Formats: sequence, C-alpha cells, structure tokens
Amino acid sequence: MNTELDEALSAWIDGEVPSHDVLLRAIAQPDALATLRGLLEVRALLQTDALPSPATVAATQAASRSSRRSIRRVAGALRVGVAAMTLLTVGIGIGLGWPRGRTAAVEWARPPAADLIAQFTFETR
Amino acid sequence: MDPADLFRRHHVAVFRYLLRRTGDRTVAEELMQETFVRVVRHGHRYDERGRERAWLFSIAYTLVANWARDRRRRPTVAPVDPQYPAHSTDAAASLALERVLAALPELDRDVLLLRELGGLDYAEIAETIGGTVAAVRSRLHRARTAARSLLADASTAVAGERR
Repeated sequence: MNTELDEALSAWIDGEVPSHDVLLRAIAQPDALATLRGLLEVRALLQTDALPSPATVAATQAASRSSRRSIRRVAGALRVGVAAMTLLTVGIGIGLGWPRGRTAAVEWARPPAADLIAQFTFETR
Repeated sequence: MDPADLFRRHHVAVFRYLLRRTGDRTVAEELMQETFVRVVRHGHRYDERGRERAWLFSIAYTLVANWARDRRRRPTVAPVDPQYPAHSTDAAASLALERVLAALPELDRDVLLLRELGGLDYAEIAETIGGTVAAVRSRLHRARTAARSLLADASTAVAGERR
C-alpha cells in the first residue's frame, strides 16, 4: 500500500491536486485503481437526498429575517397584548355582573327601612 | 453578507451534514435553524469576504459539537426517516455506513462529512475545525481509508446477520 499515493488520490477526487501529478504515479501502481474505487464507493454511500421539512425551512427563514431588535419589538407587543387582554377580561367580568352580584348581596344584608318596620306591630306580653 | 441568500444557497448542505452527524432528523432541523438564527444575530461581526461558507459551517460544527458533548455519548449516524432515504437504496449498505461512521474518530468523521456533504474545500474545512490544510488532507485520507476498510467488514457482518 502506497500511503502517499493513496493520500494524493483522496485529494485528487476532491479536486485539490492536479490530475497529471496523480495519474502518472497511479498508472505505475497496480493497487491504485482499487483504492480509487474504494474512495469513490465511500463518497457515493455518504450522499443523501434528505431535505429539511418545509415547515422547518419556513420557520428558519422567518427566524432569519428577524433581528434581535425585531424580537424585542415582538416581545414588547406581546406584553402590551397581554395587558390589553387582562383589561378586557376584567371589563367583561364587570359587564357580566360581578359588582351587581356583590351589590345585591349587600342589599340583601341591609336591615329593612324604619317605616316598613313601623307597619308591623308586635305585641309583647 | 446576506443571511437570506446564505440560507438559500447552503441550508440543504448544512442540514445534510447535521443529519449524518447526529443521525436524528429532528435534532438536525433544530440545529440548522439555530445555525441560521446565529448567522443573523452575529452577521455584523462577520466581515471577511469569500469565506462565508466556512463561517457558516463553523457555526453548525460548534453547535453539533456542543450537542454531542451534552449527550455524553457517541451519536448514531444514519438516515433515520424512511421518507428521506439515503442515496443508496441498499439497506445493508446504509446499515453498514451507520456503523462505519459511528466507529470513526469524531474529528475524522467531521472532516469527511464537511467535505462530502458540506462541499467545503480543504482550506474551508481547516478554517471550520481550526487546523491546517495539510492536516485536513491527511485526516480526510485517514477517514476514507478507515471507512473503506470498516465498510467491507460491516457489509460482511450485516450480510452474515441476514443469513
């Protein structure tokens, strides 16, 4: 095994060394073709057709477009949105009668008016 | 440096490198996304023209190295999703490849994958992993020779298991 030639062949298939340098030496080396075949088999086997999912591509593109400043802007907008939702929830609660119920409870607990009591006489023995 | 252009030209290569390196499609997609987010965040620091690909892959390389360190185990490497098979349709060869890549030293495997799937030249690989062109050339040859030898052994073993 000619390590130097093998290394040169490996670099040659990557286009890192000129062909004439390697081929001249390889022709004189009986094992060179088998080495080259092995190197190319490894290369072929490593190849893959795999692609990232369209969802990931879209998400990454969206993320790539965002800068840190825009991320801060989005975070600020989210905070404002949450505050608005909280206010809206409280408003809806008020609209649905939370204080009315409370007022009714207070009125129920209040003693009857004095003139109403005066209409009823209670005899005591 | 235009991140959108960089994404358009290189995201498939980055993804394939990460997929072979991690053996996990979900992880590969997450790391690819993180790679390009970092490109946007740190793009202003990059001012060296003509070496964009090496810079991009150095980010992916660092992220996958951190991921591997966090896992504290040798990652498996294989096309895991049958919807996206390897180029080779031979299942035995794919299984053999899985074993071969797992058996390679981590840096040798990185050099091989950066070359074959990332398409980086030797200078770019040297820049990505932090080394010299001569070291890359030597490491690449070693990785291929080992892969060739392991591949022959693994193919024999897989064929034996099938019998």
